[in-house]
Amino acid sequence: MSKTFDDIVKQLVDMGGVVEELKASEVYVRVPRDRLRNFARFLYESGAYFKTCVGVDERQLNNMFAVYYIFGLDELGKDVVLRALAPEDDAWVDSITSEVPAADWCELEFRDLVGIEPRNRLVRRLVLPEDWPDGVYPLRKEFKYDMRPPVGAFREELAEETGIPVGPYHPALHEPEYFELYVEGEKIVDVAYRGFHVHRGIEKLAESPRFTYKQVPFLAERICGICGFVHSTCYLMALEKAAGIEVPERAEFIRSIVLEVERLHSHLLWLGVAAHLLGYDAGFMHAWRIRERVMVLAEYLTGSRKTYGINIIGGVRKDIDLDKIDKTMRTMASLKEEFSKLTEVMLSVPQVKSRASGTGILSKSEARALSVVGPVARASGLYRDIRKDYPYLAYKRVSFKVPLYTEGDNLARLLVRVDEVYESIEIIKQLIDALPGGSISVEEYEIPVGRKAVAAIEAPRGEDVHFIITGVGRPYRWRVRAPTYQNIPALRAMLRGTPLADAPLTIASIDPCFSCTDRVVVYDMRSGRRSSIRITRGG
Amino acid sequence: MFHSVVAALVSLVLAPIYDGIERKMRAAVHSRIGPPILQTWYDIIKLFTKEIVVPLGGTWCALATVLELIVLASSAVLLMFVAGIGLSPEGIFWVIVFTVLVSAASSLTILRSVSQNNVYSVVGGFREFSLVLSAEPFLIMSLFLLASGAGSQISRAVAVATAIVASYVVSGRVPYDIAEAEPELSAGVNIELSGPLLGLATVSTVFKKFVSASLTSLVLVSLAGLSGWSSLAATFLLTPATWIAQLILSVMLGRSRVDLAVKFLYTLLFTLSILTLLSYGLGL
Amino acid sequence: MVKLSIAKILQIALKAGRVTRKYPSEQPLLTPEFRGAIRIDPTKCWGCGACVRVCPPNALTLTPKDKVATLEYFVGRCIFCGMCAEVCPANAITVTKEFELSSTSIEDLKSGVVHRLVRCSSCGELIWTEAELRATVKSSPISEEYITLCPKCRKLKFGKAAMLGRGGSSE
Repeated sequence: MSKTFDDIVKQLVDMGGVVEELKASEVYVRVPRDRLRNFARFLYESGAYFKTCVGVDERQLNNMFAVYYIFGLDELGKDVVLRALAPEDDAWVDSITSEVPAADWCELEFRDLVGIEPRNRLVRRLVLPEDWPDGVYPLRKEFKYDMRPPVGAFREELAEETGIPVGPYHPALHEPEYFELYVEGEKIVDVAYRGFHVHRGIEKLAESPRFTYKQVPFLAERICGICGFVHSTCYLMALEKAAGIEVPERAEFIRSIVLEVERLHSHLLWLGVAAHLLGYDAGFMHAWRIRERVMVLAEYLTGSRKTYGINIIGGVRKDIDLDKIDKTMRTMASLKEEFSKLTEVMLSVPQVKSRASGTGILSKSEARALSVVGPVARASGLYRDIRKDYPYLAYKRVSFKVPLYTEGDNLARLLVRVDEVYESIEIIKQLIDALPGGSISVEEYEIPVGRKAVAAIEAPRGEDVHFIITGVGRPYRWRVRAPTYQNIPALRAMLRGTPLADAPLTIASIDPCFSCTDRVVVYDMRSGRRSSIRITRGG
Repeated sequence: MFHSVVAALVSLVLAPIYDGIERKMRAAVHSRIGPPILQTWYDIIKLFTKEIVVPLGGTWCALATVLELIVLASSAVLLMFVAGIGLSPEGIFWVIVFTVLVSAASSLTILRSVSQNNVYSVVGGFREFSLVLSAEPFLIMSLFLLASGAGSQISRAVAVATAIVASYVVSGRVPYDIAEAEPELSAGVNIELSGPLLGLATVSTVFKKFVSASLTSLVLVSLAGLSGWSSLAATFLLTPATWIAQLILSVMLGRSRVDLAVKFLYTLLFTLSILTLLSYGLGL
Repeated sequence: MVKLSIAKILQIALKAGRVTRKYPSEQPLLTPEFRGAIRIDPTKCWGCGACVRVCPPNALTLTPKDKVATLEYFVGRCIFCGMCAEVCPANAITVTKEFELSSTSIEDLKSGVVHRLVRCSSCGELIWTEAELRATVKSSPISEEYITLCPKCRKLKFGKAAMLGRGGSSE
């Protein structure tokens, strides 16, 4: 990319945007709501990728609804946030999906939850259930967090069974979601996805009187059962950035160490599941046996195997002493040895290679259009790692490689994760070696009202984005975009043409976390064409 | 004859225990404790004490499940008869009946799965069908050649190799458990079964493994040129060892995919068969 | 064809040995840092409610009813973060290593401290718990006659006394 950040901001202004706030890491540009797609097109053409969009009920502040479209210029390490306003009685904005397909879900989400209509696109209900009453928008401020509206009749007409259902409870996928696979013989020709079964209204809860700034980290940690620390850290990074709280260096190091420990356990868990899906149960058991060392280390470092609960505003609660340093170093050494032995064996199993390679292919251009993140992007040849692109916490102090594969198949995604385990081990060693002294949290802080910030973290599954607008005693609006949210739409491209037997592996290959995604899906086939064959008849 | 009947009956009681040993040993390779050795027996007893639920697919499915077990048990008994005589022209009649029963059992498995009104089971049934087609013809051919008593030691050895590979496929272990494939098809062919019917299917699975292991033992014994009483004893004693060898191989592998499995088996077994036929034809 | 390196899994398994345990006859591994359920020492607790305000999942509740206020700990909601122990001014809360908490009765999951409430001897307004009052007296001695008064009446009485002390007249 040849353009500099200043060039891009200047051009946005030339196009009619108004710079509202210019920070070191992000710029907020107000744009006319009817020309959003022009701005989006310009940003996408300038090399930006789409992070997410957020609908906010700002009527208490300025009597308007607002939408924020967040774009990442990963090569420059900066974010551009487009803000468009819409009055209450005429709440619509221009849709950008024709330019940015990745915006499909989040536009539908603010349509469902805030009641802002994205114009010039196909709309359907995404997050809210079919029997939710019309005109009731949960994220509007007048909607009480514990309100239960009377529900209407279930309106959806269930299609006649024509495909192979995978879900809502599938033994391989351990979380409620639903894929309907349309097959010819054993080859998948199309996929329908339906999710958001486990929408828990966490964003609404955080802005309710039930919660305070201090309590939200514990709530955020429960967004995901595997990468919870990512969410609490990302929430705090956004909050600290918005409020201008300086976190002590030692706390930043400890957070980074725990984040990498979390990545280790997550990748080992995934590797085990992948082996199980390939019928290689010995690999599954041994991957999880090795992972157990990481779990014990996590408990020793934080006090809990999962949902560590050590993140507080302005730092962490638990220090790392000499015994812990020693234990960490020993664990890393044995982990590396055992992991390299296991992966060597696992990759030599003929079925692993033959079934993972060439299946679930996501091309680079599709990956780019859908703004996929994390190992999925890196396996399709996109160099995208938030730790490198937007160095946060202590990641600027360590050197590590970003594994990159271009095949875009299941094997490439598997190998990315295998390589990342080695990198994480090295990162942890470097961080422990360079651990600075000092305190681990700030004593006092103040959180001004009405500040905004975007923070992003490279979670094990990809980029996790948190957007926050500060309020009185608690966030005014808190938006979470988990990595899986960005990656699920790519599954359709991956699953087409893949053998049915490899569908569970392909779905698992994005390392999906449906609870993360749903915190806040009827995914219909856009073409509307159902080229399925009936195979249900028997007996 | 009497010895064979006793050996068969003892074997049918022992088969679930062999399966228990298999589970314990698999657990050892997984670094876990694993279930007790009698666990397969416990499972079967437990399942038979449950209420009967007629599966989606009804009578056909139930009938096929019962028949499949009967046919498999008979084929296990027959196999002992064959072992009691040895793979030789005198036993050719029993060999023919045995192969008919093995094919019948496979057909009943397929009937059981496609008669269930469940996509997973139907997909599993078609997978089973592909596997049966790519292994059993070769198994039958090699058994006939061995029983005919013709051919040199080399040609017999190639036929034995074919039979060993094909009977491994019959055992339904990884990588050829694709008809059940828990993470893909949630038990596939067994998905609609519960209670006593699942108990019957479980016993069938164990008997299938037994038939596979003793058949492998029998062809090995025949290679050593044993017959009569010594053949029966050797087959009987070799069966648990073969069973464990098959288990160890399966633990180290992953599950195949139906297209890959068919391709691999056809290539391998076809080559072996051509070699067998060539060596028989050339009189090596 | 099948590579021989797949057999190395046997070597790995042999080296690792058996790792699963016969729980509960063999106890699982707990590190010294493990956080389990909390225990509230009723002799130390004041019933001030600091833990209730900080508790993220509302596992701790403080409900005044008639003459008593009950601090209830419902372990079914507890997330074992230990924030309550950190904020407790009386050091009444300890984080234990207990984790075998399941029960067939929900009542077993609840424990609590009952505090007697004190009312203002002058106006009858609710002051708070007796224990808190005792603790306050201990840290900043208040003379006998002010103890049982609510802050409002206390201020009033103090104001009056101060004026009298200066020799002024309340009339």
